[in-house]
Amino acid sequence: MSNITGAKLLGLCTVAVSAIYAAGYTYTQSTGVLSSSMVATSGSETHVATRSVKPHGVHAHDKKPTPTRSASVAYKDGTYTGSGANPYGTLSVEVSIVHGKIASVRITSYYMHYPQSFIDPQLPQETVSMQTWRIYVVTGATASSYNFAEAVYYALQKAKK
Amino acid sequence: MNRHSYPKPIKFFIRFVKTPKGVVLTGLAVLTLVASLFPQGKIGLWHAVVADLTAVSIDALVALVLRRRVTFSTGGLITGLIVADVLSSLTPLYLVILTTVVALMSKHVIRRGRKPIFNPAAVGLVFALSLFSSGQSWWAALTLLPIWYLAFLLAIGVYVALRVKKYPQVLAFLGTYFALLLAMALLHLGLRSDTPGDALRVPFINAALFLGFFMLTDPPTSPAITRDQVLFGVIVGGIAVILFALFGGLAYLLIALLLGNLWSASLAWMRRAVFTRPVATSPGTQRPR
Repeated sequence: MSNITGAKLLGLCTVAVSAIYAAGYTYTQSTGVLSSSMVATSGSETHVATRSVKPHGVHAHDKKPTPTRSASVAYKDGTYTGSGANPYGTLSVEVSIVHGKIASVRITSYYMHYPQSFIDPQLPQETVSMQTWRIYVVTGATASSYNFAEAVYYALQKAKK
Repeated sequence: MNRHSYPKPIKFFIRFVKTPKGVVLTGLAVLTLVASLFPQGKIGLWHAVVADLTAVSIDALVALVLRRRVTFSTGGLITGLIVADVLSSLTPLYLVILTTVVALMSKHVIRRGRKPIFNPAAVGLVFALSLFSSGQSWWAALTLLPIWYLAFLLAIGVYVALRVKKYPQVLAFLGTYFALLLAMALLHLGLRSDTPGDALRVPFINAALFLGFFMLTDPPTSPAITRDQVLFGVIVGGIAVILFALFGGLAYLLIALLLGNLWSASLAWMRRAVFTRPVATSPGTQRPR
């Protein structure tokens, strides 16, 4: 080893560190969402339940989303707005209710740090398909997901009969 | 044009850019300018200008109060730039100024001899985060730009770390950090809301790289000897992962850096105490004159 110069040693260490990173990245990689937390935002309180897409370094506990109370509640037909805010920014949504069900969700304003494409159209579609504001957090856009859930929650509060 | 025929200010600038502070400042400035290409980055750029003006003014004011020669503080510029680069561009301007003031004051108040104990920017940012729940987007770490910009951050970071002779420290930090995150993933440890998978991806990986290349390498608050640098990197990386596993959040990298700074200062204190301890003299021997 004595003939390894400082530069070569640094080069080898760089390769080793890159390999460790690649191993970690690959191991925690999954087909879709990396770590998905089910968010339930209620006022200032936020509760996080978890589902696991793949257990690799993410979550060992697999919890299927349970049907929520909000799914069974019939809403008044119409269009309702709601907003969510946290230190990362604000966003607003417009929720359309048709025949007492969530027909569409549209993000009307988006002032978050991370691009809107991180959560749109994924989260609006998820809200419609699951008929609830309890959506799965998108990894890398956790704050945006929380804000989205909060905004939909407040819109649905207005739509409650 | 011959280099020797450059006007004096340009010669001074070229000389400054080649110094360790000049390299760090140039690296940070380039990253800040690139990050400002993002729409919200323009507000961040404005914050960076204000933070730098604040930092230079505070350093000048302190020099006046202490009756020292007032110079243009390049160290203050680096601190101001890091503060603005990490704070979210949605942060109110008064909080950017306050954070910079706290950062600069920590440099002048919490000292070991002539050197600050803690990384000034990290002190200011932890203050802003803990008391004002300030948003920290690390936008100049190119967190808001497409993922391939990460290569740009890496290229500038490696260049800066090599030029300031702190690359072994950065490698030790990143190696420990990545290895422990991999171990966390393998053992399914950590919080459900903050997983190793998150830490290894944008934007958290950008934050770790930015901290490693530009904050960990701060010469006054980190060790100079290579062996100590490696140990320092391992300590900061280890503490960062432990804090991330236990608490998640945003401050784990900054708190780990501050604890590492404390270790570095303690090491210097202990060594100084050992080297300045009076030598016991036995009867009959004379102390050298």
